[in-house]
Amino acid sequence: MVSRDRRGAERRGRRAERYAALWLQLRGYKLLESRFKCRVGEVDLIMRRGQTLVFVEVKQRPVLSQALIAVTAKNWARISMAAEVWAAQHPKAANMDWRYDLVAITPRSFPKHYRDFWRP
Amino acid sequence: MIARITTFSFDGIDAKPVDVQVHMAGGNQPAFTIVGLPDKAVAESRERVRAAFSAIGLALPPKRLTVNLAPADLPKEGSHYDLAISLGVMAVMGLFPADMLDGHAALGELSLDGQLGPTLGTLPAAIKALDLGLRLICPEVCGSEAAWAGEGNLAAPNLISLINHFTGRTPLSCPPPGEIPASAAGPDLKDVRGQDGAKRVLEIAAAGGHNLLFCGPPGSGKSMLAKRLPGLLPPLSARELLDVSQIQSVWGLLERGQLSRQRPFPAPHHSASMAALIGGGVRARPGEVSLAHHGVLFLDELPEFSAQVLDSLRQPLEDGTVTISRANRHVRYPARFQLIAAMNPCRCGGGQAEAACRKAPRCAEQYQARLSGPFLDRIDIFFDTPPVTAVDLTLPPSAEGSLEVAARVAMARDAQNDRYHTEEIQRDNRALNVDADGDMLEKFATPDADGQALLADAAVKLSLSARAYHRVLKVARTIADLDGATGVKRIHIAEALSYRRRPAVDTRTSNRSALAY
Repeated sequence: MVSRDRRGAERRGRRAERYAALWLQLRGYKLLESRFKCRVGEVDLIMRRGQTLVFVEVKQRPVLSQALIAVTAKNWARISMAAEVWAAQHPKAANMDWRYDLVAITPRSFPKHYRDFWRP
Repeated sequence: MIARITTFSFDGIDAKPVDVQVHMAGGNQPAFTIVGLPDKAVAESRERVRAAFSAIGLALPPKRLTVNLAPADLPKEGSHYDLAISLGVMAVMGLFPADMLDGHAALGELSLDGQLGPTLGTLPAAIKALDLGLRLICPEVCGSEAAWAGEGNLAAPNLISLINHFTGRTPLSCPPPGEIPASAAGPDLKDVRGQDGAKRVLEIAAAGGHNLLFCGPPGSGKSMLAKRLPGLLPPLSARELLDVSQIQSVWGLLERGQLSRQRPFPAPHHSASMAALIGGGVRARPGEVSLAHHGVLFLDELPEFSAQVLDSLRQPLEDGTVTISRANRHVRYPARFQLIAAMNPCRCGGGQAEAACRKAPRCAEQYQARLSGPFLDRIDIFFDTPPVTAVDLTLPPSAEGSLEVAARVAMARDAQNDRYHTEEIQRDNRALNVDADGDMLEKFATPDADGQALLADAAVKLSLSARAYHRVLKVARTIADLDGATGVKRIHIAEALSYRRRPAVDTRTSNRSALAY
């Protein structure tokens, strides 16, 4: 994995996100949008379960501990701002409880889902 | 959905009820905010509550939690709001019905693992809670302290036990009051060889609660005598004990709810600042004078204290309270104490003819001039301790110890109590000769004709101020009480007058003339 070029990383990232979305859907979450991008930031997956709106960040790393520290507070703040933008476009979101989750993808194991991983 | 519970904020030793209201609303970003003028320690409560919840396996719901501390315009400080906030949050989360918190007050600091840690001011809060008809929930380590206020308080070791209590699984029981450990015998008056005059003076001061100043050369046993004063005083009564313990509770001196019947005896070093002695600082904490409430304040090396600090003692000496006024605070602390001070006659020690100061009398004059007239006016008894000679030390110890003297003091105090308990001079649950005002003195301490003549004569010759005149009467009344006499006679007045202050120069000139011989 020495020459980890940008395009390869993008492809692996997309695959991890699809994997995570599938995993969460199996657990009863409904996928509303993936790869939401706007000027202030982006959200990997936007999902819903009952009255809870979940903004998911997916991280793929060789080791779990690396995945857990991969998202900095600054990144979360960008995700949170993007969430606000998304909610502005979807009026129903305002009445739901928001949550920020992390899904860690590591080789040869199931995705690990961390609920309420970060709070503003 | 709203849950509410009472907690307390402290204004001096007064606990003021604070209503903690927790509101949870769905929708939008999750948030946890505390409003109602919290200071840094209160705002940090958020993080402690969050960590404690996750430690016991509870997740904060992804909702907007708003905690309001009402009245919202009163600044809140301290870490003791944690428990009330977390109970309110647990109620809105639906762990137990919110109305279970009705009739409860809570006080306690959370640690990150959900345990409840010790909190200052549990006793005043428990007393206030009892007044308001609330049950106080406090940390287990403070339970025995709260139990002194009355029955019905709850002490919880951690958050889980509180959840179990409110869901009815394992109800908590009321803690028993802490113990009053048998006070260790202090130093005994027997240890002091010679100095019979000083012992007599100490007995008078103890009996009437008079302020006392020992003046004498180094090594004459001034500090030794002063330290034996608490041993002569009767133990604290129940009411006094509660007063003293409330101050100690705010200060954090009560360990495991153990109260002590021993009278407090703070002896601050002469480098003490005004804030240390009177009280103050950022949070307007009580000072040494308040810690000495119902006890003795001992100031060793009196002139070494800064003049400003000493003069700030004038108001508490007169009123028995201190009022600390700051831009944002106005706090009143009780400070009814007895002042015992010790000093050398001059800067270089001096006093004994052989070792007398070479700069006499100017040195002594300057040294004693550090004490202001109005301050000295408030001292009832001045006593010059003579130097102890080698002969005194070879004498056998006196037969009379602290016990015998304390018995006489107790009798004299009983006499004063019988006399004053019907009168209106009871101040802070104390009725002593020092507290008597002009009318009372006229009624109870008017000397016989001989005594009156002597006093009138002395008042002119010594140019006594009105306050000094009354102080002489008070001391004379105490001496009469020790005698068991009903009226004040000439001999009592004479002894009381002998304890008035003599000007510094007088003693020095007499010493100088002694040298000349």
